[in-house]
Amino acid sequence: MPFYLFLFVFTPFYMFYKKIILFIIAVFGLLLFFKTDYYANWIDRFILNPNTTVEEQMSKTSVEERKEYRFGNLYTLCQYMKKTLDTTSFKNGEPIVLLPPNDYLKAKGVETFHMAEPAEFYYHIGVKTVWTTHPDAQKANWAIIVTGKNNIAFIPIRTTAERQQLLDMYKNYKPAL
Amino acid sequence: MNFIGLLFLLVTQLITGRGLMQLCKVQIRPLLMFCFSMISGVAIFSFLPFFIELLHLPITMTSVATAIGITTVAFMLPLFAIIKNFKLPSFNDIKLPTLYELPFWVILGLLMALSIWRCYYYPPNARDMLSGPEVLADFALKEKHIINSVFTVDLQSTNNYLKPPYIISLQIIYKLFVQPFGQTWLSILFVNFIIILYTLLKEKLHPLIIGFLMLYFFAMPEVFGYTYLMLFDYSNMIFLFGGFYFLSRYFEEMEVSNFRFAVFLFAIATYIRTETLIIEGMVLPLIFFYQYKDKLGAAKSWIRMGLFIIVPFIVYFLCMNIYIKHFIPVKYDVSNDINKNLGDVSFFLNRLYDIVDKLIFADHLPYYGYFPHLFFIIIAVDIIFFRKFNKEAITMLYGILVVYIGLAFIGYLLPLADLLHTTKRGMFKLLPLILIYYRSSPSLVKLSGIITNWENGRQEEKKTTSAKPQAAPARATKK
Repeated sequence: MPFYLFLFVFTPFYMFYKKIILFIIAVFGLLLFFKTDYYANWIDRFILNPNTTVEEQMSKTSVEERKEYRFGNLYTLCQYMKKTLDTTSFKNGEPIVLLPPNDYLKAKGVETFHMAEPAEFYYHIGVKTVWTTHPDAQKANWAIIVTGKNNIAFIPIRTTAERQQLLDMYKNYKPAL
Repeated sequence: MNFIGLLFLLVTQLITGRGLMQLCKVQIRPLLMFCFSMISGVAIFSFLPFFIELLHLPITMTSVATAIGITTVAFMLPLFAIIKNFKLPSFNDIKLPTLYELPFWVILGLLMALSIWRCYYYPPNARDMLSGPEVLADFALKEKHIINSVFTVDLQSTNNYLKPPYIISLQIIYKLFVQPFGQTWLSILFVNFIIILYTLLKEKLHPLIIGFLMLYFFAMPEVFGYTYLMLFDYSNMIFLFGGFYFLSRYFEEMEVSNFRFAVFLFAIATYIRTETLIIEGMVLPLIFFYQYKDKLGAAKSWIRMGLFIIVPFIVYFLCMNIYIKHFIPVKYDVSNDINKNLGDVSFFLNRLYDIVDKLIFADHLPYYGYFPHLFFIIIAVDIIFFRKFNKEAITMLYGILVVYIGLAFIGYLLPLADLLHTTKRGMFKLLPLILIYYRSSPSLVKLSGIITNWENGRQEEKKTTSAKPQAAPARATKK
């Protein structure tokens, strides 16, 4: 028998009814609280979070799965970059990847992807990336480029002319988050 | 997840924190002692990999475990003094919840469990972490130094590598001992902090009122998010709150033990966010006022005020003038970040206005829910109908004012401290101060008394003057 039910049965009612009234106030207060638009919205969007349940998360607990889940597109791109760099026959010293400015991505209709900072790429795969304004941009031998609406590609830069062409394309866009 | 590693850290942090509190000779109830020991232990451990780096030693499992071992043993020494008189702590003040507390405990418990789960499950995701402390901690484990190859990367779009090494150090320890994403230390701080708040409120208020207050406190979307999203501000809030709480205890009885511990907590708050030093400087007039009022000798008074600012300043100096200046291989001069047009105070006044207009009363999304609104109502009732505030209430109100003005001043002094990031999260600092103010709020104390009297029946009415405070251990007054 639950503890409170036990108390309820064996305690004289007059000693307990005030606690029941306070209990009812607490329950109604809570219901009222979470019925207000603001808190109902908070619970819906951030706590219950219908897109992902805790059960779903519990079925994916490996480090890689958790990273994929949290970092989304960026992490997928990073893994693709790493795989490409590991398997490519194009070896031209330490890879330095030229990042397109985010304003350029927007201008070209890439809405599903936002370029992270070089430090974040380094965190995920240990590969150096540079913004267009960094001195090492002149040494970039790989690049992330836009190939169409919501499409990007990871390509090697084989010649100085190719690199300069990319830098010229980006020169009117400030690299920023 | 390595549960043995977690257990090892929990035990060593508890011993270290408890040893520190014994050194300070702090006397508080066992449950509060436990929680404050735990958060102090986390704070002390956050210096270990940092010191290993300062000594140019490699950061490895062996060196970190050795540092933890030495620290734990060192802080265990003061505990030997109390072992001969050791009695099992009486946890009489821990009572089963009453029936009407249960709905709140269930809701708050579920929210805490969700926070702990997310803290464990999600990798650190905040941009400020991934371009600073988290990446440095990750590569510190690979390359055995905090100053590592991350500094060869293009860092022009970030300055997050210039933050004090509080999170870097804790991440190194928790990645080594607990799980690859570290971060679990945040849940340890969070849980202990919530227990502290609840316990303190329960000393003076009726549980039904506490339930609603805690609910409002939890349901601040902006704040709750940072219980599992690793950043500096939640930790900063906890330690600054602790500092103000022990300062208020000091003002009540002029007990130096509370003052010592308050200074430690303020120093940790500075370690986490160095600009907190400005806010602490603004607390000095209050200390001066109470020490003068209590006729503390001039020499003692000045020495304590000096200590109050010097200890956090040493921590500030260690971070800014030793670590950042001499260890970080990127030139940084804080003076470059200072507002070049200090004569124009309109920016300061605008920031004061914007905090209220755009953060507290934001139309579309009040960042802190209706928690501040509740405060404005309660303080208005207290001022209009009661106008009687004890030292604790005054300390908390002073703290709230100082944080508010201090944040605007920081924004004015350092334009990089923008409204919607730095100031918005800086405002966390005043939220627990509001909560602790409530336990001294004349209107809420009176309301608690009325409910308690009604609940306990008329025959006890005379015995109960207000919501019955639970007995705190006798404290010797030592000026």
